[in-house]
Amino acid sequence: MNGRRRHQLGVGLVGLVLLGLATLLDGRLPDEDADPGADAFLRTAAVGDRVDLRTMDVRVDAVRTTSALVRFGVEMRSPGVWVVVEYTVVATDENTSVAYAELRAGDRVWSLDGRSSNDCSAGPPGVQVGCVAYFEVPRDAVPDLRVWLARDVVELRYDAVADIDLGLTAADAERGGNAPPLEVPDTWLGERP
Amino acid sequence: MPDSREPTPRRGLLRRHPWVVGAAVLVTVLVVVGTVAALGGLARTSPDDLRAVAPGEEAVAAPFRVRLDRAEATYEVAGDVADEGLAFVVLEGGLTLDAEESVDRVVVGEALSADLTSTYTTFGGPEQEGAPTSVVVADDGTELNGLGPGLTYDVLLVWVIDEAAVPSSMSVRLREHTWRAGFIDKVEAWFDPSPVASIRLEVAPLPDERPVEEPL
Amino acid sequence: MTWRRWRWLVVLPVAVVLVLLASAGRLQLFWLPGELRDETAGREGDPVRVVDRWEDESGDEQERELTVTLVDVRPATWVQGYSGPEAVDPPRGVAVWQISLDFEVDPDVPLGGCQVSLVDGDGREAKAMGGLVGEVLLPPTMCEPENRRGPGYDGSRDEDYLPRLPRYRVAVFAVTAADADPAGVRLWWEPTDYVEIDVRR
Repeated sequence: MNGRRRHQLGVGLVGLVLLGLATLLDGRLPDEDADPGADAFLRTAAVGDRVDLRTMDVRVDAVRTTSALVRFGVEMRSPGVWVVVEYTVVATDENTSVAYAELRAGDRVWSLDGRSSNDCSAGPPGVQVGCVAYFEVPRDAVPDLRVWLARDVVELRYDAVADIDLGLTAADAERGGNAPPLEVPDTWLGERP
Repeated sequence: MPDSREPTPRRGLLRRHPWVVGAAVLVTVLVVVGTVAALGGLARTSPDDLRAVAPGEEAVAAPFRVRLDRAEATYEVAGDVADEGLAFVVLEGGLTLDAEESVDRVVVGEALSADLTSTYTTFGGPEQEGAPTSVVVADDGTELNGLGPGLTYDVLLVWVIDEAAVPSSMSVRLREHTWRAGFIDKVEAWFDPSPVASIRLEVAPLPDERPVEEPL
Repeated sequence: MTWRRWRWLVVLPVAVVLVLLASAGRLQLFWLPGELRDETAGREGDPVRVVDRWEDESGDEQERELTVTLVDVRPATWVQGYSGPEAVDPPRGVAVWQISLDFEVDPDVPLGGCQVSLVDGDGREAKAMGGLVGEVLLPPTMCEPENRRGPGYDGSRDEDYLPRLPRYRVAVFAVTAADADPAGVRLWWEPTDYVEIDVRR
């Protein structure tokens, strides 16, 4: 093989290697609509932990399961399980509340659509505010449930989000099915009644 | 062998005016594609060929599984009595969400389109798309504004309707949605409801007497 | 010769500054107009002359003149309830303050939709919003008296109310943490104008 041929082969080989690398890389790059820089800052925690979300602290105090929930005197019976999350919010510098609440298990997300609801008033800075979020989920989702809590329901980009493991088991799903109707706990300001 | 100075006319045209020929081909292709696109594309459209589903039979209309059992016209549903001049058409059935995320009442409404006339939205305005006025959980009469993944409800689909417009039979089209990114904000959601099945039901007639509403 | 090769580096910091300035245009267009930036400062007890700009329905800028005096900030003891005065009894960890403001303003100036907050010594800002504290419902924040109103922003008049008098006092209620030490009262309608009155401590 003369020098020129070898040169051409070398160029071809380098070209192929580069193409291969580029293909590999392209598969790993985010697509043009993804905005990973704007991802929310997830703060993982457990029930009872205080979570710092910059503009407020949140802490999940209690989680209960039931098959029938009573709100404003009306009973709501679920084909699945009601999960009731009581949590405390303390605003840092300004009146702030949690407006975003979702339950997650694996890839599935239960938001505030349907009969699920979140009740949390914006309290003044430094004051404990008791809030309640309740969701209905299918029985099989209960053991893996986590709750996500954040300030703003519209925009989660760049914001701090609490990701709290509810610590529920399949037994909780079963027990919930047999429990008497549970009244949705009241929200409170300053101290738990 | 032909004289190379005098090529055949066809080959000669391409050789002598390659740009013109290329442009002509391109323009032709564009015109054809544009016309086809303007006329609606090549996908088959046959709106009357919807799969017929029997009452009580479950059908898939992504992201839902829907079953409609029976229909009746009534003056009272879930503790509510219809206003003067109005009545309810109530469908008993089942609704399941087979998706990864919760959906709101709008997606539910788009999936179920009845051929009823003179029905109303929950805000009291005219309903244009045949969507139910409300969806109620049959077990306890509470309103269901959307639902979460993996949940199956026995539901009452309620249409508020002018009393005079209550039919003796009705047909409901089930529409499936496509999960895709929105064109404007790129957020993924259920879009483009498109009919996939239709169910015909007899509507049990209104009772003879309107119930007397208890004075408050 | 080496100097001539590298002289483009001199342009680099200039270019960086220009890029930053260009990006800052977004701040100017989108964020700053929504912030309270134009302060009129005052002290408790002193009348504060305020010129407040607002945008009317057709997008034109309007001005209103008023004089406001912070009379005092004191712990709230009672509020006017539905059936008479009710004692304010805040739960543990909570304090309720009554902010008294004297207004001197032409009765034809619209004053609806005012916002008040109480700033404490640690820089925390508690919004005066009304709401339920214990069993007592605090009245919502109003810069006009109970039974008198000026015109609306569209010029309309509510016939159910008497016209305002040129001078009057209002009480505004703010809920804070029990350990909050009031340092200032902030008053505003629309960004960017606001009034900040220091509390005498």
